[in-house]
Amino acid sequence: MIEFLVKKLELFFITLFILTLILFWAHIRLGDVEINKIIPEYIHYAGNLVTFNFGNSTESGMPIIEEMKLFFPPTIELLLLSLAVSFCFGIFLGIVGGLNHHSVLDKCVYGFCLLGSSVPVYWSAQIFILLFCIYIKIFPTTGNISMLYDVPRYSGFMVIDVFIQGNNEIIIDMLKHLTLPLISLSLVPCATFARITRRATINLTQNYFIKAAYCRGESRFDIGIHHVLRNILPDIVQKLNIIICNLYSSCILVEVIFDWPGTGLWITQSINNSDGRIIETTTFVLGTSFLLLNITLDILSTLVINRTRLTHG
Amino acid sequence: MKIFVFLPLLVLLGMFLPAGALASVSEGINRDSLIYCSERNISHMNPQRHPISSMASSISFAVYDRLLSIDPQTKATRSAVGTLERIYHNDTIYVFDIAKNISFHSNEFFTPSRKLNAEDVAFSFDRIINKDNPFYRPLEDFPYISHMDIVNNLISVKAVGPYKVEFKLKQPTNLLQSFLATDNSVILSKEYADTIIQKNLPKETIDHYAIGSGPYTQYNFLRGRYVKLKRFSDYHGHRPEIKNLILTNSYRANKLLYKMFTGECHIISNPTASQMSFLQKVPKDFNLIRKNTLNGTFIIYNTKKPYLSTGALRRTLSSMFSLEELNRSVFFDQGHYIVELFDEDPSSFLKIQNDSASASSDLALEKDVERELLKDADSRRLTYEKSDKFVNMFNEDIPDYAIPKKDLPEPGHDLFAHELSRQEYLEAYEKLKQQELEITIFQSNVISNTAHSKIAQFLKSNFEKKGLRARIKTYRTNQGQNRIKKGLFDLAIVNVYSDTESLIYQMISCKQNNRRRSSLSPNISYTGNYTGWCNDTVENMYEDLSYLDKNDPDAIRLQKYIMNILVNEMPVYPLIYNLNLFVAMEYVEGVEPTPYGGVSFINARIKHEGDKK
Repeated sequence: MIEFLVKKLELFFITLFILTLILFWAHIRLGDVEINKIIPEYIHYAGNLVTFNFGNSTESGMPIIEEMKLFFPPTIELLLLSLAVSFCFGIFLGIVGGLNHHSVLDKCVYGFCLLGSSVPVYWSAQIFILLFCIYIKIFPTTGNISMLYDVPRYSGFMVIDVFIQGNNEIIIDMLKHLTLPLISLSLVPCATFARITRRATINLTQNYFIKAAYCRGESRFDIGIHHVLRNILPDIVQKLNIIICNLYSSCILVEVIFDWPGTGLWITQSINNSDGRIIETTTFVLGTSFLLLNITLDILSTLVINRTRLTHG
Repeated sequence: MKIFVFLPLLVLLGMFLPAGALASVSEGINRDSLIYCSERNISHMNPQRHPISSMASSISFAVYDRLLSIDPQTKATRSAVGTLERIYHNDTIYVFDIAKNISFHSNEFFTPSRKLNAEDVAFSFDRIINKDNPFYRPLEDFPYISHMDIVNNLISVKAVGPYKVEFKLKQPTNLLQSFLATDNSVILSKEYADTIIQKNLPKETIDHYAIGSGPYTQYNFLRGRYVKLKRFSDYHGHRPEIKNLILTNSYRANKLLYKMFTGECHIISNPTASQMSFLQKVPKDFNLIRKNTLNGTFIIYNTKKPYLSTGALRRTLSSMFSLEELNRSVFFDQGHYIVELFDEDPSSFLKIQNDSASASSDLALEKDVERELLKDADSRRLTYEKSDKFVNMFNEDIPDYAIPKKDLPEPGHDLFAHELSRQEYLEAYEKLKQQELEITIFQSNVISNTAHSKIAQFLKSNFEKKGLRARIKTYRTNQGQNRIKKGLFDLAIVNVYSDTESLIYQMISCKQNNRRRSSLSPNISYTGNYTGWCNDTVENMYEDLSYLDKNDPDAIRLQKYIMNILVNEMPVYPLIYNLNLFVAMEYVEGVEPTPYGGVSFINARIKHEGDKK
């Protein structure tokens, strides 16, 4: 296990080094760096990045770290909520479909999985806007809260801040703003979770312990929770890093479409304004967080698989 | 099991649908707040740091005061916070009296201890011209003045009394007052600047956390997204009715319209031409506010390229498309010809274009008459320029074709272009045919630029119909601008937002700007002139024009000469300018367009339910 951890850390540092090299290459293309000072410049540059000393925005001249504090929490908030919603609903649908194999319900779940995986987020988001915002007029099109409300900044996470403030009208407004981005973003991972879970559940139901549980008269709910869910988790954890990576890339699109004030919108604005410093910083932060996430999930899935092997061994 | 299936769905529906329904009720008319959505980015809270734009102008009117302003009716400058007291020392020193008892706003970093005075006015302009000022920035960081020659002419701005400020110029000019009346020329607080230094805050604080003396004070600003303003209780002028004002931006044109439909915006700026045709069908829900402001679209030719180096080549290329057709197909006939701004008859300009197109046909006989007129004009030309008002001796340099056909040209008098001979035309055509022309456009989600790709498609298809080869190259705004500055283009479609005086001048000026950033290419020679075309005669004429009153017959004549030279040389091709348009919800009243394309909310109000009936 230690050898595995060391390998993963090695991989992390090598990738991080390559990432900083690419960013430095972009940096020297944008700025003026003398060729004979390139190595000290790189060391200085990479040192600043890893110590979170990102400097100031090219366009505004203000510290990037301050802007980052404003734009990162809404993205993390949307990602976590979306992950939670898609995880719960996807697994629920997958188990329901798997336990009712060949039934109408299973076909519906399967249809949802196909549809959800096939519809790109930039299309579904626009359709939702057209349908729910323009025609039915029940949801707003942009932002995470109405411009008319002022929510004090406690944590930076709108959901938490709004609940701390405790104004019902603002809570409703926040939920209203959250609904469409959340549904748009959760659709694909939800379908993916459902597909994985359904397949795992179908395989699992062939096992004797499930049949025994049926024979014991356990309800499907109990079987789903106590037997199926526990056993399909390793399958899901293995796929989690791919799902999260896809979720993050979709999140940037969703943020742009719904003007959600997160990193996606921030990057897009920075690209439009050719603000090199912000582009470099966000690439570094996102790249590093991806790396960390991947390694953590790799370790987690290895642990889960080992535990399963030990349990079954 | 069914409960197991439907319970989460019911919970989800129960959570979101009532939320939507209830929230849509609370979204109704809020009488105290107004949301203005613009296509322009809110990069700074100081209009000095913006180009001339609807957003900068709106911020200026909401948050700041200006020394002078522009009368909406007469378009002449008039007093605002300052009043012109006197001009002396051979018209190079201007002294302004500053109004008293004007309070500044306060914020978390700063509480003012005094009222606005001459020190504040001096500081606001000194930071632009004086390198020793701690808040000095390169000229490029003040985009609205980067094309104005006035900054190079300004020696100093200083307080000569508690309420008297003096502007010292190198040479006399009539541009100072119009510069001071620009919406972007706002008055900042010197005391605030001192506080920023004392508290060791970043210098950029002055441009992000606004302290002005306007009717609204900033209380929340998220760069690139929105600024929230609230009514300033100590405002010296008329108290606005709207308590909270929110200025926000959206990059995409369709988004602005969506937000209007969902009630997320009460006023939007500059809908696209296609949206206008839709909005005009539903007039009862919206108020359409029009303002005749300058936002012109031009083609600029790179005259350094051998195949675009002569006037004949450029005119031949310009004759390959019809401006009227362009207006019809791209702007839905909503555009206005830029030549109208110079009191020129568009049909005269279009005639020149069409004449060039038909130069290959035999029109020699018809043109004999014009040749005769040219001959007459040639014999008389020196009698007109011997005026002591002119400082430049350009009489000998004026090309024949620049001399108008009448003694004193009147507004609306035909432009005069020499006819391209069949041979000239064919030579030019053959030369152009050998090259694949690159049409450069800037990719931007800013609405005013969305027409550019359509224009480029239109040009490409017209060129190809005439047997020329063309390709469209799209660049991100800054990247494209850098390429244009380095001369890496054939023809580019650009948008220029400026007053009439400097609209064309900035694109053909020979004046060098020495205050460019060192990081930019040293090849950059001219302030905003990327055509590579520079004509000393035109330059001198523009200089003389700056000393003359607009309505002076000599000024009209000079303007005419310039136009004639430009029509013949054609380093830039004026296409269309758009009216500044604002669409407000029908219950929003009193929104007034500002001279530089923004809106003033000082008289804005939201109609009550009772009023509607």
